[in-house]
Amino acid sequence: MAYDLCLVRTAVHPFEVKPVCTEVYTIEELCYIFYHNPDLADDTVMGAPLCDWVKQELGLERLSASLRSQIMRNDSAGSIILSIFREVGYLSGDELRSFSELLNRLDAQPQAVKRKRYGDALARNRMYAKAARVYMELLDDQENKSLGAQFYADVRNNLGSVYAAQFRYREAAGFYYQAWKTGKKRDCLRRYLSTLPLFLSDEAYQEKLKEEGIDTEFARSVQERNAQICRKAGASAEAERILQSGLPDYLKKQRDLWRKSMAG
Amino acid sequence: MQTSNDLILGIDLQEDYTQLTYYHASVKEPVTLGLAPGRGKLPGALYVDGNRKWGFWDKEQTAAAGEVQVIDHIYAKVDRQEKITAAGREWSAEELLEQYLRQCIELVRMFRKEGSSLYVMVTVPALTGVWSGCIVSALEKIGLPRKNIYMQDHLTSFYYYAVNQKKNTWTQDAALIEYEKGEIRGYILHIDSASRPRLATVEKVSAQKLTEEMREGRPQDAWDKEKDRLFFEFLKRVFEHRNVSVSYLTGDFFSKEWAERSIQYLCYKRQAFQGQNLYSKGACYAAIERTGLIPDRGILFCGNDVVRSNLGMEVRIRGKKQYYPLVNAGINWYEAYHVCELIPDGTSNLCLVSKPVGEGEPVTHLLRLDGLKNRPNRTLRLRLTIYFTGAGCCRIEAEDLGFGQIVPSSGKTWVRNIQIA
Repeated sequence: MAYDLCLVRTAVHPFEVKPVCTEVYTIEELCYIFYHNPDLADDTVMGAPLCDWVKQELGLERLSASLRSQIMRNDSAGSIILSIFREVGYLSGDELRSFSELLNRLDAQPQAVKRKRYGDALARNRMYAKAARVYMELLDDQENKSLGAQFYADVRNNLGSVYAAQFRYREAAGFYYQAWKTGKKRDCLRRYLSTLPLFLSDEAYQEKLKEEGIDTEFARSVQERNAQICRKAGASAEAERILQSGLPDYLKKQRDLWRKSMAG
Repeated sequence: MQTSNDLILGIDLQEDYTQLTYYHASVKEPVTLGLAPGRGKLPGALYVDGNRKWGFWDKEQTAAAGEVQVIDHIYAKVDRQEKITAAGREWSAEELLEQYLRQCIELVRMFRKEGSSLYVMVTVPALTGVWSGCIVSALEKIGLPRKNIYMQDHLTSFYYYAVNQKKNTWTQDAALIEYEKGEIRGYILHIDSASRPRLATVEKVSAQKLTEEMREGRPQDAWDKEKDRLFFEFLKRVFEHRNVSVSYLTGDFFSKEWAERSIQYLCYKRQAFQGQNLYSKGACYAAIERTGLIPDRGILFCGNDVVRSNLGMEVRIRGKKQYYPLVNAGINWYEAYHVCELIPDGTSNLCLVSKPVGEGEPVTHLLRLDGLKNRPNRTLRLRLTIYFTGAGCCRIEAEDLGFGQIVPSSGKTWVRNIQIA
């Protein structure tokens, strides 16, 4: 249990963390985004505009100068993040050490893995259009054979999820199918089966199961589980609240989130 | 005393006049200012002309000012929260006080340098909620930040005046003697050196009515003798069973012309001083101490309106855990006010600790931040506001500021009133 005293002022003009289209007004918000998404700290974030914002809006002249020097020296994004964390004291000594080790491990990974992680971070932050583009670029450039088929199967699986989040179920099903065929993971099959009924008629769905030789019992269990999840969500207190009095606000919020997720 | 480019003012507001004492790098000791040399009292009245230009109403200087409206008894009007109509509009008591204090601050405008700060301590005979609200509101409208505004009553100003004189004058008790509304009043400042920190108190020990009605037709010399006798008896009551090393007489009521025997007694083995600006100087000294130009002397003044506990929290400042004071003991509860922003990590409660000065154990106070389901950790930025509603009654307000676009504010504010010793 602890309380972080906020000593740095709140900015009048925000800084936009471009990969996630999120504006931040405080150094704590910036630290939070970097801590939970270190992969997003790319050139669009770590640049002169960040240094200017830190100086002019937050009044942190020393940190701004330090960041500027690091950027000029082409220091890694991880070391720049750590500089910011140290200035604010965002992490304890032990936490800072652990996080630094994590950043070092991530930084040592192959470029394709880093790009996938970047796409994963975008997807986690609902930036689906951007995530899809990153995954597609990876699939178009499958030069790094040493990463193995499973890596690209995972990319296809994630691309499927991103399309599903955009309600593009036919495309999602296509990528889930490829992921299942190349990676052989049962989870990919489950997702594939979950997506099919969202754009196929019952008859077409049954035809597809026969065509692919998929175990009907397994397919039935997947659909039953999905139905159970939907029933539980529909019966929740939150759903009740939304239906009773919060539907317009909820729909507006979802529309805004969707528009933001398609940005890009 | 260290020097500073900041300007520090002590303003003593009284019913019939005001006194202004300032301190600045250009002077060694606080200096009392008036409208003209030798006239240390400022009028308790204002004038306003048709163009809404305000000024002190001093009959001698402004008689030729032309058509103006005079607003007298400013103190009484503010005390009664009376509205007035002037220059074509209605003015609230706060606005009236604002205009009056503007005139006071205008007198020291030449001492203000660019980039320097202005600190003001206002002292009044008795500090009430009405006065504290009006003073803060008026000075904020003039442009002073809240943290530069201080207030205290006359007895507190007496304490600060006394302890800023030579140390040998207050190693024993100090007496304050004033004449107010037909009564001589005696107060004793006592500092308990056995406690840590040392505790200072001022208490009223005696009073003697002394009005013209009591003259009962006596000729002047007989009346002077009677006044002297009454004053002498009064002083005996003030000093009995006490070690008083110094006495301060305020105002111009006391005079050797009629108090010959009393003053001889007063000065026997004691120092005695008479003056007119004790409260405004004391106010100025108090403001100087608040700005840190006088080192802490290790004495806590236990006035009626003083907060007697330290209130704080354990927080992380730049990653290091340390005690963060929210309200320090020794300040007037009307002034006790603190705002800060913090982000809880791993908890949905606010935990504050109060510790009485002197004896007493620390007490932990919990404010539960209910109704924040599923809030991700470290995304709750709180504005914490602390103020007092009485000498021992503290109000804590915590407002959810949200976390930018990451997590919007819930709009909730949590409030708790706590009693501290």
